[in-house]
Amino acid sequence: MVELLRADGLVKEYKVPKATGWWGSQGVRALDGVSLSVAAGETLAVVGESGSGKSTLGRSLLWLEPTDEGSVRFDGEELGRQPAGDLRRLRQDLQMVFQDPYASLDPRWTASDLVTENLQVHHGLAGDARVEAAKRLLAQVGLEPSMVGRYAHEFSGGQRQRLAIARAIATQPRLIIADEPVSALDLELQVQILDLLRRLKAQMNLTLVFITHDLRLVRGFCDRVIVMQSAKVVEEGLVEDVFARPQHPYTRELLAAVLPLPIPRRAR
Amino acid sequence: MSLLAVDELTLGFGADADVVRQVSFELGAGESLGLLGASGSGKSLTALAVLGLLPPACQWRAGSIRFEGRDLAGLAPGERRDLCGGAMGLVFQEPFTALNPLMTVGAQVAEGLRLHRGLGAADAAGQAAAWLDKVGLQPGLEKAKLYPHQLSGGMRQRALLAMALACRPRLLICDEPTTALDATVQAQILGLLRRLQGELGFALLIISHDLAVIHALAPQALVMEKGLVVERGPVAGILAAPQSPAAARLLRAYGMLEGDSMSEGQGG
Repeated sequence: MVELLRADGLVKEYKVPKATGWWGSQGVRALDGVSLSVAAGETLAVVGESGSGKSTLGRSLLWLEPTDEGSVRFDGEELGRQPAGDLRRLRQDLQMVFQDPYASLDPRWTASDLVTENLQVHHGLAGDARVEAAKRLLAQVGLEPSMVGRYAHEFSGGQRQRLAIARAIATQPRLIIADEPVSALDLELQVQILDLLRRLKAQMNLTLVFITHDLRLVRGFCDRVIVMQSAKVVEEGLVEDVFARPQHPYTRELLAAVLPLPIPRRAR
Repeated sequence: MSLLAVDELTLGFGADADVVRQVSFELGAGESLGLLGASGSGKSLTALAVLGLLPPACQWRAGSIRFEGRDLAGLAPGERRDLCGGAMGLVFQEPFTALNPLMTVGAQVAEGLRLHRGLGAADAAGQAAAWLDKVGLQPGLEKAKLYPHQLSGGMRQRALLAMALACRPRLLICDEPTTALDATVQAQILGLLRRLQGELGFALLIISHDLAVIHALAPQALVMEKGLVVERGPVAGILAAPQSPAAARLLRAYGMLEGDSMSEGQGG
């Protein structure tokens, strides 16, 4: 296994206003010594509750949010230690899909502009070439190429998340970090989007980091899992092992919270 | 006589086709009924019609809704207001937008008690604190002084539940009550709803795209698709042998999400 992404001892503290009194602030740790390694071609799940630090971790892994301590290396190169231009070049390989496609896509941009912005930035693509590239990308994520001139606000939630994915794959990245990419969608759409990610991953040799609070999404979709609680990694392992033999009490608690749905086998 | 009787309800917007088509169902006092469907199936509009909270652009095209024998269409606006929030409680999906950010949660629970039950300010504040205790925001007297932004998502949903239940509704409508929450918090809130229903005896209309949520709360369910009720019956029956393509698709989505081992059930 070739290591593609590696994080060592990440620490990130946010300043928040004190709970009492008029002034002063206190530090809240969102990452407290988090280390991880992602192998090329695998899908790594990062699970935990709201506030466990998993979204901060996702942003830190792309250096969208520099940490206070620790380092992130992508393909051996340490992020944030090189000139800004180098980081921009690396960003072609490192992309992100956010949770809320209503917030992450500017409603006044057309689909074409949204999905090809990275191609314009990195390759200077413009005019008809840009529209053609947009059409190809839309087709790749299961949207009608003829929708290329529509504005983001004209798309439904599931379609928007497809747009966000098209935008992320435009520069042919090697790693995509998806932060709760389906939790704003209903169940059927969740399955469709996961299917799309699975297909793209195979076609493009992608490596995926999949951040979620919903353990139901992990089992059929991910290879390895990291469990976060209170800014720390409390358990990690192969998905099969962790689901079958959870070691940490918090992991057991998360698994016990999955709502039972006794579907008889013949109904499948 | 049933508590709530919806008969051939048909709703639509402007010149467009109907978005809720001839929906009929009955709910007896103290019973629970699930309304299952994907985004856009018409389940939320059906609930809003029961509450008298349809958006102004939505037309009531046909059908009737009777609550405790009274035809809701024939009520004066004042009588309608008395019902909504009084005899009919509601809990929405997004607890942050449903709460007033400028009022303490105690004041928001007390407001309903003053408006619907005619309590004086001191009595209402005292009862509000008791209700916060009851929903697990303890100690209620302390938690009553907090503003919504000082509460976590799960605590906000508890506060909404206290607001809805303080007026002792005979019908509680919950629209995706746990969709915005983590799995562990979701399990807590669903447990709390079950316990309070046993204690207080209200009827429950639970709306969700997630069959596991419906399964946790209601023995009977309607499945909606494109405004139509396409299936109805015991939840166990829908799980065992779905009759409609919509229910079958949903179950398949579950199967794909969770892998086959889920059919044995996970946790308690």
